[in-house]
Amino acid sequence: MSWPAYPEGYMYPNEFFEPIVWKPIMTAYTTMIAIASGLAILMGLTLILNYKPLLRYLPLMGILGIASTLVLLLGPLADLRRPDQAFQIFISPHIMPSNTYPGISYIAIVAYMWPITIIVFTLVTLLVISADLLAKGGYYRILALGLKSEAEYPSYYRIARILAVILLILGLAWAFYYPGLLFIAESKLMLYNITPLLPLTYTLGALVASIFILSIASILTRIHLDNIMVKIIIVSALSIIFIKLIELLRVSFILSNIPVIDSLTRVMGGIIILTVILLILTVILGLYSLRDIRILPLASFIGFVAVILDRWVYSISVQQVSKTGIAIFSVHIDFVEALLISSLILLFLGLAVILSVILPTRSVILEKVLGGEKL
Amino acid sequence: MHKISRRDFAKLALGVAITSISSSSIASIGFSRGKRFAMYIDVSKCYGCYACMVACAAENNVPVGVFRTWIERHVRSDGTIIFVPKQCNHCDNPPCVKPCPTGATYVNDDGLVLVDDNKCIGCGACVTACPYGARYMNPVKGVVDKCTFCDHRIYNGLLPACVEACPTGARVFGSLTTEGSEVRRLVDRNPVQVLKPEYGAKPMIFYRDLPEVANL
Repeated sequence: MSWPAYPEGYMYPNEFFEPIVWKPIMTAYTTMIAIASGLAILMGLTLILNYKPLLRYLPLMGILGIASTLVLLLGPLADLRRPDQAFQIFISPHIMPSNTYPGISYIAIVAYMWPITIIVFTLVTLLVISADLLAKGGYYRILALGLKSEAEYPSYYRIARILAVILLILGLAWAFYYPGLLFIAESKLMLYNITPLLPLTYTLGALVASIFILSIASILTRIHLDNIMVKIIIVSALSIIFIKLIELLRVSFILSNIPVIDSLTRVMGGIIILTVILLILTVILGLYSLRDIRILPLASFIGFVAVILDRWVYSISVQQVSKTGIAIFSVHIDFVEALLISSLILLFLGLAVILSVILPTRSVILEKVLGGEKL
Repeated sequence: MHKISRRDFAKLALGVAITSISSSSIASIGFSRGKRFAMYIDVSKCYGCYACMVACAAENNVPVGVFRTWIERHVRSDGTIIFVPKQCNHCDNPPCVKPCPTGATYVNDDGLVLVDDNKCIGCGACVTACPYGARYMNPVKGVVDKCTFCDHRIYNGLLPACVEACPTGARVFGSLTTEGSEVRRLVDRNPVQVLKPEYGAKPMIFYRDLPEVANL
């Protein structure tokens, strides 16, 4: 066993043995949550509002949403010390408080939310493209959920819109989950207590991440990009910058006398500044994208990197400060960790490709029925 | 880069976050669980021999590098050195039990906070939630581990290993609900303190003469 150098300041001995409980793969997990929840929110809102500029992206949103949700829990699964006992979360969930088990576990609730999200995402997607599946004939009819003719499609679409409300709620719940877990349930790491606006930042970040994935997928499937995607990116990035500024002011003026802020500045200061710079760049490039939509993938990519950094800060960097508030630990990504993160991303991409082969990525009939513009 | 010494940090942090070490008494604790096991630690009697740590490690097969109990060495503002034993506080309102997704961590009928190895998935939620750094991932078992007050001993009429090994009697263990128990008498008659009372965890380790510098 090799012993790291003793970190500066006071700390508990058990923290010294394993300073970072949640490993870097949790950043990949939270980023995947961002993609899945962002797509659920976008798809839900598009259907509920029947928002025509985004209708053409519904099949893609569904496919990407299903793919990202399917791989979602592989992130924490890879982080568990006993993944072989992971099934316990489903057969023995801590969701009812009692004398023996006081409180309710947020993690257990989310574990149950996962299959529900997959089912709702799949149902909404299949309902939206049911007419296209029917038109394809053969085995695709099975996936059309019993649709007999194109005339029945409007009622299927209405059911999809009703389910979209559930999808939207699930999307918001996922977006709020991790920051909520940090802020409410896991509040014993001091730095988590000073970020009450984090759930909002994460939700906006989810929109940025999902628009990035959606824009890349749209280009690959030759669906033209719409200015509304640019506007979502710009508004989301600006809002995150605004919230970060509020947080900065709060930390500077209200919390500046707390010693832990010194550790916070050392651990997180640089990354937060870099995140804000990247978001400003996203806004500038986004404004250019309004003139030339081809710049959107670059603008959204930079925004996506900012989202990943933001997630790194709160899922990993925060753990670098001990519970006594002063010792600072180092974090490194080893080969196995890098392999796990890569596998998670590749699995998501692989599933997205497979689903896009099986399911139509554009809905011709949807446009015809709803009177949307031609692709 | 501005560096904060341990002492400076203690002064600053304690001034803001840890406003005071609360005094407790049996009347104010409000416990409600069975025998409500607890421990009384007289800091002034501990001279840092580490016998409790060794006894605990031997009794519970604690791997090298992690600790069910440990002794902190602190320096008072007047320069005197003090030793403060710490471990799981078996809180009456345990923050570590609430986030456990599988119910692996639970509170037994007598208030002991325990872990069911067969249910623990090793997510680390309880490690993060415990404000006292008392939990760790057992590198051998792969599940979370912590002090159990030696439950395998106390239910057989023995004392926890750390209590039995303490040469000065700094640690006193017993039931708070049992009339006439030594721990109850000591907690009731002495000005006692608990660690980090601001978290509202209601710890069941009661210290006597705990200096503010050690309440981190």
